[in-house]
Amino acid sequence: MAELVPSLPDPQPLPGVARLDLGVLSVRRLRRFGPALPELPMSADLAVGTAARADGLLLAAPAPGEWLVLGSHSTIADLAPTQDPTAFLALAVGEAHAIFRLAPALAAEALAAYAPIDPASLTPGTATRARFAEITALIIPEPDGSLLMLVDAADADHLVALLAFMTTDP
Amino acid sequence: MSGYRLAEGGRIDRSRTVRFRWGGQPYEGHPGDTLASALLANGVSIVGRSFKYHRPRGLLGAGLEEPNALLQLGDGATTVPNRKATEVELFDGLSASAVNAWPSPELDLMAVNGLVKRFIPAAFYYKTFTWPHWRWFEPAIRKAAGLGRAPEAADPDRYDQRHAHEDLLVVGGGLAGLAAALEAARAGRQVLLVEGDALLGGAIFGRQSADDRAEAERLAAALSALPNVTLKTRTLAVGYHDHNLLSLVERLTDHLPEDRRRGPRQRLWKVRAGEVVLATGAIERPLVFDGNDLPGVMLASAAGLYLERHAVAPGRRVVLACNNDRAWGAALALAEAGVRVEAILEARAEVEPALLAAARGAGIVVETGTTVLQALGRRGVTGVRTTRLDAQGHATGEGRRLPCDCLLMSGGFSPVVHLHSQAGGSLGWDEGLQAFVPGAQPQACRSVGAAAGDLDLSIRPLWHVARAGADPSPSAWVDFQNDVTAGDVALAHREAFRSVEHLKRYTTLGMASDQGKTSNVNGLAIMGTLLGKAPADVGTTRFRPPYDPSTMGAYAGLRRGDLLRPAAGLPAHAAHEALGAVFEEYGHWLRPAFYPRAGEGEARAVAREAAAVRASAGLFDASPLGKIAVKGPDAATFLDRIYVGTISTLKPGRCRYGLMLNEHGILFDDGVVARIAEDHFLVGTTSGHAAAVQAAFQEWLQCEWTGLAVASENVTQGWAVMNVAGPHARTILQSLETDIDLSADAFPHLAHREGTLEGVHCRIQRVSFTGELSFEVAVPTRYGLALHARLMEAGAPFGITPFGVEALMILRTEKGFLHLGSDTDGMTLPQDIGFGGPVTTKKVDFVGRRSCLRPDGQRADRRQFVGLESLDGRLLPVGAHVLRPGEAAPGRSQGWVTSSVNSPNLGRPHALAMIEAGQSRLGEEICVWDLGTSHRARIVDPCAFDPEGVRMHG
Repeated sequence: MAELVPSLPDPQPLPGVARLDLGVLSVRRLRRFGPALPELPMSADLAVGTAARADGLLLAAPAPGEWLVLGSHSTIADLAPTQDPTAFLALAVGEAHAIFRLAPALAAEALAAYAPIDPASLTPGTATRARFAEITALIIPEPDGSLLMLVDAADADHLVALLAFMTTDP
Repeated sequence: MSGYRLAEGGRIDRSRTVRFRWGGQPYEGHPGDTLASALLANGVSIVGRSFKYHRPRGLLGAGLEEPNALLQLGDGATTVPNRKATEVELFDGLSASAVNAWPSPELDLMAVNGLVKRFIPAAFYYKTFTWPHWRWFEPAIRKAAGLGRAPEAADPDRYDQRHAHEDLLVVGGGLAGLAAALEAARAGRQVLLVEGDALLGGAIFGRQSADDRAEAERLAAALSALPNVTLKTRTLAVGYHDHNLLSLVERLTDHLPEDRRRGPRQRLWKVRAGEVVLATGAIERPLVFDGNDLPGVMLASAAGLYLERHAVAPGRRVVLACNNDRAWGAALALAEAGVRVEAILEARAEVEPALLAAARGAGIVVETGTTVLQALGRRGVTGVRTTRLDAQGHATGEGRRLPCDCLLMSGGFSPVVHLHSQAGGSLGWDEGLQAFVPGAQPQACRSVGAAAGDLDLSIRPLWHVARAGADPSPSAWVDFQNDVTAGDVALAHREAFRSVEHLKRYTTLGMASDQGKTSNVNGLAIMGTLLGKAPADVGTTRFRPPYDPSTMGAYAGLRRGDLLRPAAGLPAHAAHEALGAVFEEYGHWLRPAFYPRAGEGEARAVAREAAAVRASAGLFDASPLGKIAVKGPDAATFLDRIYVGTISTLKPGRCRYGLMLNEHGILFDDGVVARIAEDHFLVGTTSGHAAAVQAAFQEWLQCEWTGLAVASENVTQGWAVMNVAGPHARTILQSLETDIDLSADAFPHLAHREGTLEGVHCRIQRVSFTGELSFEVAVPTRYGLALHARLMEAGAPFGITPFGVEALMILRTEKGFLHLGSDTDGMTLPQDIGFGGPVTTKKVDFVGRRSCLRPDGQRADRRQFVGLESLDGRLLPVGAHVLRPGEAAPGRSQGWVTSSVNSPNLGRPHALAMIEAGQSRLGEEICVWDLGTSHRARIVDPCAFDPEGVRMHG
């Protein structure tokens, strides 16, 4: 049987910038402000604006009643149907996002150039949805000083162009 | 004025020479000079011409308060208009010329304006040049107005932007700022100090300048040694915004020769500070007397600065006229440097004995209770006529004539309160200082030093030198840059433009690049004397950023060309490119407008595509169409409240057209809603509007209907969607490997199916915006390119044609399908487009319903959505107005054309329109009028092609 072949983006679009091919699970509580927590391999009882790692997964809580889980495509695909459909909307949305890792040297420069956030507030364990130039990004600092950035898939090229502009001598 | 360089002193590098050109003539200066100081040192006295009367003007100031010496710096793409010579650091190869003077400031042909000065006072353009019509004169007046030339080529320089978060931001690197920064740094705070000048130390002049300079250097050295301090020169704070956010412009390479410039030219800093200290100093005010605009008349502090920093004397025979003791410092310093200071004309009756002794010791004659009545001369000051002042400050006329070639003046000092005021701070009037000083401040900000009014000053108010009872003089300048005189202030008063804001607008006092730095207080104080009010009661105009003119480039930063704004790319972009697509931005998506073949222009290509879809098959990338997943036990209830129609009765596997209103009843969005399961819907939105619809959903769910168990997720970008449309659409799709039954019985129009296609999970909806048999095939984004290729391959035997947005617009217009935003506007209600039924009959309330029921929404003559048939065979212009036949144009518009196409499938034009009571006027002939051209047309049903929908339902 003929199968459609996926187009995969360049995993190293720029020096210091890696594009990660990860699955993303978006979980939203049906009643936004209720107590229910999703069923995950880690505790989902995160404060808003924080992130945690466990078992190869990264869990972020960008807003009340919202969780994002990053992991391998197969793990994410397995997780989605395990969520209580009467309490959560759980969708694999990896296709709708682009995930980048910025090396530590580039990360500080990128934030100064494009994000109005106080870098002192971006410590490992935080997950901040913020403006990055003219696009929106979820910014998750890593313990090694690198930065994970989650943007809409359609903004991926623009993000790479921003980083290229920043690193190119005029 | 005959300025010259002193043999020693100054902070210039005399060992090196800098060559520059002014007005095409070669000159020399030294590193450390500004263009102004170098011109002064070279004896150049006329540096510009005034805005309106083209009067010769010399240097008034030494910093950014300078109103006269405006120049065009450089040429070509990098030229900058209206830079102040006092702010331009001299560099080798610099080339500049005066603006507003032709052929030169020394000989300016437009000086003829001065001959008719009395006919063109302030606000003359409101009263003259109006017959037969003001538009006759407008082009000439506009051409004569304005200063400088904008570059005509694209700016090749790069401009950077940076965010920063600081504990303490100190604005101003003078003594007060340096001291405040050091105190804070030693207390352990992180400090950023910014100074607009190239040097730290601020405006140091006067007899203590050496001590002050030494102190400044000591403070700067101490600060530089601290790890918690950052010092930035050439960085000017131009704006103070909410929540302690300040904008700064840093000049990175402007001071370098062009061949040595590397990197960004300027950088805009957006600094969020925990606390701000404003040490912005004070600006000296001129005295207002006849002839005070002559070249050779200069602010006393400016003369002191030229001396201290550049070792330049402003003249050879100097007279000082002042009303305060601070100005004496400049005169005494000049005398000490060997410059001949003829006299000090002190308006105060009493002067500190120490100052008198110092003047006597320097051989300077002092006349107290005296000031300048008139500066004499034509192209430069040659002398002054003095006058004694009575107890009320009026000129008595008793005086003498004093020769001089340089007249220094000082009418007091105004603390620079602009940033304090921008931050929301109030101002108070300090009677002792005769100036506005900072008052209460709501943000975390405090002013120090001269900016706070901390000036040890004895002053006598003297706003305008005139005899008692005399009208303010039209020869006494208040605003040098805008040619506003004391007489103009009086004119505004006579004509009842008496508030400070009206005074500004009527006379232009305080406008243009200097923003009234040397003129505002004098102007409002003169108005106050006319009104019998104190300056505090007249008040100031509103201070707005930027504090000083800043380049457009700094604010644009990277936002130019491809980085102007993000344009979302389609998953199959490479395929469209390979097919030769011409791309346009639609919303924020970069989409194929059409796919021209060799020799085709847009019109031919679009017509060919539209015809091909109806003849056989077309392929359209519909990925930008919004898709929002709505799920939960209350999903149906939620959507019933959102949409005009009923959604809850939709069966799983079926689709329905949804119309969404805002709270005012106005059409907000439309799209196809599919029910995937009992509790799961996929809501379609217009392209590029998904985020706005999702935001609206969230606002209702989070703020109003918090009890509903439903969530929504914008999944638009997770799917690549290809639309196969045309008579062979089904056949093409059936040739692909799929487990979905695509037959007409199993897959009717407005159905939704899920399954696999070519091994990949897919969703297919049978929906149509073209009016043809049509399938929208959605696969995960990463398979979009492959799907497009596969469909083109499968459709090749049927001549499948890729078609773009423009052809789609032809096809939907032929069918009379509404396009929100094209055929509707901010006034369109659902009843205007034929969806009025649910407004009255729907059992469930929905957003915007009540607004639709307002009396205005029930009027029979509301504009309604209809079609238009062109009766003369010509294309009706979009935006053309609808008139009754025979009505004289332009007449009263009854509506307008909203969409209009040359239809290849109808063989004629077809248009859509919104026309008053249109639905009850079908068949009526009307006139369509656009910019002087009339067309005959008939109101018809919007759908002109296949009205029964046979092709779509096939």
